[in-house]
Amino acid sequence: MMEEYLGVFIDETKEYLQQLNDTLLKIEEDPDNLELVNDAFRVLHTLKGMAGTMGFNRMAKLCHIMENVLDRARNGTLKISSDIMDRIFKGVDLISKALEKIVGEGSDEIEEDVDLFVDALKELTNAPQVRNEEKIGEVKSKGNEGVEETVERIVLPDEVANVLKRAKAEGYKTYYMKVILKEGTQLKSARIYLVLHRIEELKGEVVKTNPSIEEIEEEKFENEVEMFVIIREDKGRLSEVLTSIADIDRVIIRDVEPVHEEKVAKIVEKPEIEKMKEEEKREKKKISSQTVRVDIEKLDTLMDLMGELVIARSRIVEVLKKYNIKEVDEGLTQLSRITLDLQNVVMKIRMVPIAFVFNRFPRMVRDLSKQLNKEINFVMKGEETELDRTFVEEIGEPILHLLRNAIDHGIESKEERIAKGKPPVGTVVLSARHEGNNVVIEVEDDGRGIDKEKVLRKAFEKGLVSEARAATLSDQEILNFLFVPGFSTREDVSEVSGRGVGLDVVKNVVESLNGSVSIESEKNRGTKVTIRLPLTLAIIQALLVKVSGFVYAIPIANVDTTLRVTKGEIQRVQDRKVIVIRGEVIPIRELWEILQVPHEATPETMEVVIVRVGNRKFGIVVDELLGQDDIVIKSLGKVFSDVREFSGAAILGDGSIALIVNVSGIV
Amino acid sequence: MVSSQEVEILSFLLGDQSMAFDVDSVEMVIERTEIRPVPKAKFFVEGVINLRGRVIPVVNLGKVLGINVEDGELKSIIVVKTKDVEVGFLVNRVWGVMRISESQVDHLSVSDKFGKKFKGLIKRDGNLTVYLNIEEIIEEITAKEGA
Amino acid sequence: MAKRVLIVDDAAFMRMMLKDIITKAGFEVAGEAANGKEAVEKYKELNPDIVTMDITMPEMDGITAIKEIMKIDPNAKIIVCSAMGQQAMVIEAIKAGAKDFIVKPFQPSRVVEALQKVSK
Repeated sequence: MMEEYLGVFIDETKEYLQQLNDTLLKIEEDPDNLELVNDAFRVLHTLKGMAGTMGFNRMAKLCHIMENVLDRARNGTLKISSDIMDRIFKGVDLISKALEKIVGEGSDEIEEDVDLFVDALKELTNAPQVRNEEKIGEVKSKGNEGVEETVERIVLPDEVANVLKRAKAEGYKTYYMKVILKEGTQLKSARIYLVLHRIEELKGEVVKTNPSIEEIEEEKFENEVEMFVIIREDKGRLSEVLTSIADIDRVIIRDVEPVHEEKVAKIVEKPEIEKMKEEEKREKKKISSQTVRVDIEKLDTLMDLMGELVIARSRIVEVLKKYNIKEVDEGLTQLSRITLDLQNVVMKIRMVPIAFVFNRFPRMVRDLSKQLNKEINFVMKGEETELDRTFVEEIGEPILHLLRNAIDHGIESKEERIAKGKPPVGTVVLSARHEGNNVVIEVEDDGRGIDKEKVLRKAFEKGLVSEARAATLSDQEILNFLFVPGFSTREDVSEVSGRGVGLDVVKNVVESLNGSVSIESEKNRGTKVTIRLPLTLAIIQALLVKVSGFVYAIPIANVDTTLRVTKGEIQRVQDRKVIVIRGEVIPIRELWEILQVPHEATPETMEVVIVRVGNRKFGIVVDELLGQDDIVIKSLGKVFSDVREFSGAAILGDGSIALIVNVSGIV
Repeated sequence: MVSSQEVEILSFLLGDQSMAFDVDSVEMVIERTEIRPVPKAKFFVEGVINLRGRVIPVVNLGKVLGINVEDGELKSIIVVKTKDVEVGFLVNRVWGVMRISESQVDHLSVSDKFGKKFKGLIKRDGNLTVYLNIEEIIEEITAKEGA
Repeated sequence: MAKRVLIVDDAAFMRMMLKDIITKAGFEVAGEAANGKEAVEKYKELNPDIVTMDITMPEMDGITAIKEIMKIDPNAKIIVCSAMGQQAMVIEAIKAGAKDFIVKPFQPSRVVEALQKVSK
């Protein structure tokens, strides 16, 4: 039964954890901001409810104890210290771990001792305190709770206050109501609907509910719902009717006097700018609420179908070429245009802001800089940049790795920086932007930079370069050694960056996504690593070529140009075949040789595809150039996981299969 | 209904030996179609096929098991689908699905030749069928070399 | 005098269970019906104080039956019996005139509570 909701639960919990991390980081900067504390409290409260509903009791327990700590903080009986923040962050990590476990194994049973953590936090909350009746921060009541209690002032949203005021003027009674359901009530939405229905039958009107009606419908609430009611009946009658519904534990009804917005403003007392910011946020919220949640699987199916459509179109075009029918041309052009538009729309649906990836980094940078005792000014830019959702899952690790490198190896210690005359606080910038058909992600630091001589020495030691050639290498070529598997410039292995995980891993991931990575560095000025990804993964433009009777596809993104070369134009430099184009020396290799497929003797003239990888050019010799086409990338799957030469396969118009050449895997 | 002691298996001919594996993961059986070879793939991978718009790897089961089978004899492809892998196995021909009881499986005669890929021998109507462990076979063909 | 209840459910087992819970709680079972159509007929014939109405039934479903009964007697007290996950159906039933609902699998205490509250 619950499994149906598991997906939604996981997604939402992830979102909430992200929100929680963000809020906690803000609290750390501004510990006296009770509103932030309140936000964090609410998130934990919601998480607790969700986890409890799903039967993940460890997770619920964690949320519960942290909620208690924050509750004490927001009612002023506990001061938020750096120690407390660390513990709370630890708690968030435990919840994240539990979630990972849930994703993987369906259980929140984590290795860490939850009880130990909970007990430690309990001590913090055990100090004597005066507990008020739990409230969501909207009702400011005087005196004790009870049905006959009069509440002097309730801070209301503007629109509610106005409606209540008008109703009051027309002789209606206006009540604040809290309906509390019994523990374990089922079909809670319907239960609350029944309450609303009864109020309606009594000719009353519900002005606003907390949680919102939508949330109630989605059953996103625990056991209580608050609402404002306009009605002619008195409290006694209302109470009598509502408590005659099964599963209603009790109903609290209070009179409310609408308060004006001006007064509210005075109570909260906020600088104008902040208020405006908040309004902006509210505005944003409104906009974002006009979205639909779509199951990722459906989206993938849509993309697959889209791919089929592109293939079918190619097939029709191919067949019609033979007949040259004028009347069909117009229709076909239209079909092509619509397919293209549709393709763009589907692609856009799949796009998500890179914020999904970036979000977790501030927290990680915080922890890391604390651990390494370095002060870091971490700047993120372009979080709104959109990219294909497939990348979101893949690109996080490489970026994380680059950030670790920047903080661990790049940024110097405070003393060292001061000695160099640099600002004592190091800056790490993570940015994203669109550039043509690419998404560009950069990690830049103002640290010590990469010691190129050391890199070169190491490359020589490892036999990657001859002494003679070493002297001729450009800075860029030297830095490229860093991408060679197992190459690392640091002798000591730090706990942070670990051993063996070098830039080659970053390169592998990025290239498996049809992207490229490059590095720039200047001594004492800093290092910049640039990742370039295509906008989308699923459909690409490719150059189709033939080798030994089979079709291969080379992504257009990699293709620089094509040429026809005679045997005589091929020269040999240090055992490598090269051609010289406008003074540029470009190494070339036959594709059949690279792929080790049978082939007849090399012909007199041959077709060469010049490809570009990073900033290097390379010529691939093929038998025949077939032309350019849109292809839909299909994964080759796990059986081919160790084949580096291909990044996937595509089905062509005639139903045959082309293998997509992974250009960076063959040069 | 299959009782707890009974299993349904798909039996087929590979070379001159009857073999079978659990039918649960079998998606379909198709006639051999044109296979597009994939250079640099593992020795037992024949290539990929276009199965209704999907690209599926085709594995020579004989080569996985170390049995020599005439390529021209391999006329059927059994498509198996697990959680994250879809793969076709080339076999001579498919007999069909049969139901066997656990008692018909001889676990003792485990062959060293096939190792963990082998579950036992099924004795049925005087014939011997090699009962393969398809999960293990998929595990092995998807394992990264040297990993 | 004990309130009289009409039990409507297509499953004999469910009727049996409800009958047991209801009689133990001091109510009287006026009659049983196995589908909506029968329920409407029995309602006319028996004029019970309370009806427990299953939603998914052959012949005539519970919601239609509620509407029909409400036409005959706008003051009819009908409690809907629903399965978990039938939230939308329950809301439909409330719109049609159901006074309350209980959720399967039945917990006797909750069934009794609903019956007592609705009979007030």
